[in-house]
Order: sequence, then C-alpha cells, then structure tokens
Amino acid sequence: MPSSGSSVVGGRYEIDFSDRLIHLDSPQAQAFAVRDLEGVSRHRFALVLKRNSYGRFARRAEFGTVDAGAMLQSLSHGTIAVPGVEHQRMTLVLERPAGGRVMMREGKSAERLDERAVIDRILVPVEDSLRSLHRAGLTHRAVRPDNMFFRDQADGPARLGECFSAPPGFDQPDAFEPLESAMASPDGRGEGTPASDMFALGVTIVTLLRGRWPATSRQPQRILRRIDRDSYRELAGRLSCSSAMQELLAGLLYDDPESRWNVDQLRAWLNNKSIGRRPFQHSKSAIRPFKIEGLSCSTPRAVAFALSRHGNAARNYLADGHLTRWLERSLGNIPLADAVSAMIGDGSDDDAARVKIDDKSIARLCRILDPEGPVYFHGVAVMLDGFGYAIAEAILSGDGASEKKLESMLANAFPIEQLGPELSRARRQQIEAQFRNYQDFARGTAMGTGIERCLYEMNPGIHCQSPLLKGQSVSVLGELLPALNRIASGGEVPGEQPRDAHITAFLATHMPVPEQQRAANDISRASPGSQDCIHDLAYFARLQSLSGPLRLRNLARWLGANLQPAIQGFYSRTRRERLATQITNTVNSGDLSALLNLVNDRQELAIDREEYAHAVASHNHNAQMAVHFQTLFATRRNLAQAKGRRAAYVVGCIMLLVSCVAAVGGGSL
Amino acid sequence: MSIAGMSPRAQALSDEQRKRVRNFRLRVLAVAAGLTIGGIALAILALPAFIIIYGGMLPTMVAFLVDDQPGRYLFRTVGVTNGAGVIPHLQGSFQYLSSAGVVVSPAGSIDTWLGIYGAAIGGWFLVIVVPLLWQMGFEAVLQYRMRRYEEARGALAEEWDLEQPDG
Repeated sequence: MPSSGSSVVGGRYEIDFSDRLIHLDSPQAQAFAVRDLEGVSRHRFALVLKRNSYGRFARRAEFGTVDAGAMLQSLSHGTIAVPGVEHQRMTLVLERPAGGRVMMREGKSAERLDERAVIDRILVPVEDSLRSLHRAGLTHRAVRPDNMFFRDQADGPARLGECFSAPPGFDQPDAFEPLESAMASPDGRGEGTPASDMFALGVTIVTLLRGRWPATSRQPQRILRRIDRDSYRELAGRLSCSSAMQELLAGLLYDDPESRWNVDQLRAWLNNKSIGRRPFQHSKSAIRPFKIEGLSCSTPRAVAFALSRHGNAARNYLADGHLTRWLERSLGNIPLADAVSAMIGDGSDDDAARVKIDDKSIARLCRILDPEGPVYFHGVAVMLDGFGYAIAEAILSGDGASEKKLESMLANAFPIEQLGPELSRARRQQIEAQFRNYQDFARGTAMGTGIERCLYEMNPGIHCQSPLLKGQSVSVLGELLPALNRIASGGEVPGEQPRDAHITAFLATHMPVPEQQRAANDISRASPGSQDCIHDLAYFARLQSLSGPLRLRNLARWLGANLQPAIQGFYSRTRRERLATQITNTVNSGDLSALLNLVNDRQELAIDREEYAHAVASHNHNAQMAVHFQTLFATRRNLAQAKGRRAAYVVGCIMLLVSCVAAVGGGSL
Repeated sequence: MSIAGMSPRAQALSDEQRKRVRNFRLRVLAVAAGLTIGGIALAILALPAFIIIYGGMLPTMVAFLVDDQPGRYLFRTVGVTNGAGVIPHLQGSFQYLSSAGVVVSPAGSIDTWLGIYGAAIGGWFLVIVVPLLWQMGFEAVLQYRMRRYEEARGALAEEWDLEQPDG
C-alpha cells in the first residue's frame, strides 16, 4: 500500500495516503485521513480496500436513503487509483468516530462491560440503527464488537460501524453467524435476513459481557456442537448473567430464524416488557451418531455439513447404504431415507442402477439433507442469496478454481435441487425461475454467457471486470464507451477486439432488451461474411445512440480497423475503395451509427451483388467473343481467299455492266 | 453392279459424282460444239466480229482451263472483265461484214487488242489482289475487335476480381 500521494473521491474528499489511521482499519480495508475539499467538516476518514474486491458497495445507495441513527454515516464511495497498485481500489469515505472501538478483535477489552453498560451504551443505540435498517428491508451483517465505536472519548453510547467494505457476513467470526450461514464460506454467506443481525447482536452481547471473543479454532466441531446442542447453549450457556439478560440472549440466539426476536421484541424487552421465552425447537437427533472422519453427526444437517468437508472419505459409506440405514433406523426419518436412497440408488441390487458417488452427487445429497443450509460443492458452501457475492469475490480476486466450482454449481442447478420447506410457494417459484436463468447462463457457450454473465446479473452495480478496462471504472452502461475510447486514445489501435466476455456480459445485463434486439437485427441483416466483424460495431452503435457521447473518434478508429472483412464483402473494387475512404472520414467524426450504416448498407450491397452478376455474365461473353475472333483470325487466309475472289468477281461484273451500258449508249470508254 | 469393298451409300455417292462429271462433260462438249458451229457461221458472215470475239476471249478460255478452284472465280472474273473489254468493240466490228474490212475494222487496231487483253489482265489482277486486300482489312477488323473484348474483359476482371485474361 502507498505511503504518499493523494486521490480524490467523489470530487470532494481528498485521501491523504501519507496519513494512516490504523486504529480505524477494517479487516478488508485500510484507513486513511481525508480532507474535505469543500471544508464542511474535518471528521472524515477513508477506507481503501486492501485487495481487488467489490465488497458490498452495490447496496450503499440504499443505505444512503435510510437514517440509520447511530450507524457511522457513509458519505461517498468510488474507485480510485492507489499509488503503486495496479488495479483501482474501491474506497469508502465515512464519518469519523470520536471514540475508539468497543472491543478490539485481538485480545480482551480493557474491561468487560456490565449488563447495564451493554444495555445503555450498546443495545439502545444499535437497536435504533437496526430498526431503521430492517424497516427499510436492509440488513447490516457486520454487527460485532470490533465494528462498533464509542460516540465520544468519554466512552458514551456506541455506534455501528460500516458494512460495505466486505461481502455480508464476510468478516464475521462464524460464532456471530446463524447456523446456516456459519456453515457457508465467508464470501457466500449472503444478505441474510434481519434475524441474522439479531443473532449477531446476541453474540455481541455475550462477547461484551464475557470480555473475550468466542473461540475460533476447530470450527467443524464447534458448528456440529451448535447443531447438536443449539447455539444459545453452546455460545451463552456458561455465561453468568441476570435472568432478564438470559431471556434476551435466548430470544436473540434462537437457531430458528422465525422464532428469533426481532427489533420490536428487543425494544419491548428494553422497555422492561416481558416477551416470554419460547421453548427451543430442536431438530430430532439420532439415537446413535453417524460418524464421518471423526465428526459425530446427530442430525441430517450435521451430516450434510460433515459430508461437505469429507465427501471423498464418505463415498463408500454412501454407496453401501450406511447413510440410508442410519436415517431409517437411528433417526427414524423414513421419507428422508427414501429420498436419499432414490438419489444414490443404494437400495437397488443392480449395480448399474447405483449412481456413481461423485462431487455432484454429494452436493445433491447435501441439499436433500439440509435444504435450508448452504449449497455445498467441492469445498465451497454458498447460501442461496450469497452467490452474487461469492462469484464477485472469486472473479475479482482471480480465484479461478472457485470460479469454476461456482459455475458448476449454477450449471447443475444445485441451489434449486431442494428448497427449504419454510419458503412460500411464490418465493419458491421466484427462486427457481431465477436460478434456471443462471443455469442457462452458466451452461451457455456463447461469448457473454458463463460465469461472467452470472456475475453482472447478480451484481448489477459491479464494475465491468474486463481486462481491457483495467484502470477504468465502468459500472453503468454510459461509462463503457468513453472508457473504451480512452483505451484507444494512444497512437496505435489496440490489437485485440474491443469486446471480450466480460464486456459482452456487461452489455447483455445492462443494455435494454429492445436495443439488444435492434443490434442483433442489424447484424442479421448484414452479409454472412461480415456479420462477425460488425458485431461489436452494431452493439456499440446502439449503445452510443442510447447513452452517448456523440463523438468517439478513438473507439471508431479501433472498430474501423476491424472492418476489413465487411469492406471485402463488396465485390466492386471501386466500391471497396470508396467505402474505405468513407470509413476513414466517418471514423474522424466518431459517429458509430454512421460507420455501421456505411458497412451495413443493404441497398448498396444488393446493387453490388446485381452488378457483380452482370459483370460475370459480361466477362464470360467477352471471353467467348475473344475466342470466336481468335478462331476467325486463325482461318483468315482461307476466308480472305473465298471472300476476296467473290469480291473480285463482283467488281468484274460491275465493269461488265458499265461496259455494256457504255456500248449500248454509244459512248466510248 | 456393286464395287467390291464399298458400302451401298458410298457406291451411291460415287454414282452421283460420276453422273455429274458426265453431265459436265456433255455440257462442255455442247458448248464447244456450239462455239465451233457459231464461230464458223460468224467467220463466214462477219469476219471482224469473229476475230474480236474469238480472239478477244482467248484469256477467258485460258482461265477456264487453268482454274480448278471451287467456285471457279478466276474463270468467272477473267470472263466478265474480258467480256467488258470485248463488248465496246462489237458494234464497230459488225459494220464490216466482208473480209475486206478486217484491216480497217476495230480488229485491225492495236488499241482494241490492248483494251481487250488489258481488261482480261485486269480481271486476273483482281483475282490476285482483292483477296490480299480483303485479308489485310479482315485482319485489321479482327484485331481491333479482339483488342476491344480483351480490354473489356481486363477492366471487368480488375473491377470485380475476376479471372484476368492471358497476356
């Protein structure tokens, strides 16, 4: 990261890279001092992402419309060039808190908070912020002690920190996540629901009251214990606190999101109203655990989680029907046993009927066992609403392996293999339709489909990730053409085509469908030989007419250099030369539509074809005539003798006639 | 009676040719006979005319004998030009019916014979020169037209990327 220099965000906030604010760092971003060029306030700081990531910036605009009370206000964001770093980095400008963090991630806080302090300084202001967010349909997903700041130096009420520098739940220790998303990969935890924030708030209270962070080691065993015992007992079971506080924690740490307290119940509790404690609904546990590589599983969810981690080792168990028998006999869940048996075919005596237990089979099996949990595949676990973030992180961080796994998950429609029973029929249909679309994209082989298309469909605000646009920030359609124009502004036209898979997918996602259809029509009307080379021009011309700018001379030059096949589509040399000259002139005007009209002039093309047909006929006729005259020339002597002698005879006859006339008339010759 | 080794069709053609040759010979014989009888009669009645016609038309006789080309245009051309030379002198020749007028008739004039034989030589000359002139003119026309077509082909080939003419 840089140690000097500056960049400006939003035309107003100048980031001073020489002034680091380490105490305000986020896990995924470094903090720098900011100078407000309009001089309104000095209490600002900037978070510059440490890596090429999109975080959760797409949702910032929605957060901007909500008065989230005590939450740190985000003032601006943008991509900036960071000295010494290749890619531009997402940057967030925030209101600067006067006080320090409520609790640092490493080590213990100075002293643990008592219940009164937790209620007055944490719960009251945070409840206010969460209420605003949840009412607006937003979730914070980064509620944890180190993302809360005291409002002033005197350690007054706390404020919630930002939630944009990382995907939702990305920086949360798994203990702060509800069971479902705790099992997911950090980048695939998804937006979650307000209940996710309430759970995180519950664990935050436990952490502050205890004065130390929950354990982070041996994650699989801890999660299996949470599944086995429930989260409240596992995370807050040994905490000594008042019965009222126990009531609150029990309400916030329900594993069932439907039963978990919401902000209204929290407000009621803060107002000393008794909410009552619902009995914990616990999944039916098996009589004997099902063991996979030392992991002891007592519920289907636990089996799914263990299978996702040790699928290779479990293949034999599955093929031999151990799991089906355990579900039947130990768990007594006959329908689930039947579904598993039908999936892997272990009930059949015929070996051919048995499905080969590969990674895909295990992914499907996990969906059947835990339809509410993450979608597992080959070590990746993603919640249904976490695919967009997971794909963005994989592509932006250049993690090709994860990219392929996510593409495979979508192409095989694992997310909708089995949906949770809690979903309404309408919601289920909506999710199915959505993932069928993604499946089509992921399976597509044409440019602009695949994982790139899924990236832009799922993250409409994300910048176009085309390698061509390196150093450029293109997040809306109107920014694409100017960016490409800037790329081509050097002396030489870039060697590659101005459209790659990312740009194609970006266009397909953002361009209105009627405009895409018109561009496709332009291409289909072109002659077959030139359709490929005018493809880019057709789309960019439509885009220029849609969003400008009017003059794109460099891009026109770039596109014009690739139009040679279209020029060669004309048979007439004169027409080709004239077209090349016209293209050169039109390129200088920067009007892509005019350029397209030149090379895609159907009337001119039809005339050219017609004239060519005439020319070929004339050429053949001339060739025949030339051969005919050559034949005549070869026989000229004989012909001349025959014709010449006859002519001599005619001349003689004329002489005779004249002689007769003269003799009869009496004249003398 | 058929000829051994010949097909009936070949035999039929041979018969036809033989018939034609025979007819020709008969016609020549008839003409020769006619000319002989006519000549004797003419010599008795108008000797100068006889000398002009039979003496003047000798080049035609020679041409008849030497011309074996199809169409016999040498004979025909020399005949008509020879005739063109003889006809102007006939009227004057018939004015002298007796043999006493031969010396003063056109037959006695050197100019008459120069005119008659000059016309015959002119006819012969036409048969030699006109085919040569015809050939020269024909070659010029052919070359002009060939050049025009080749140029048109070349222009089309260049404009439309077609096969270029050789050369």
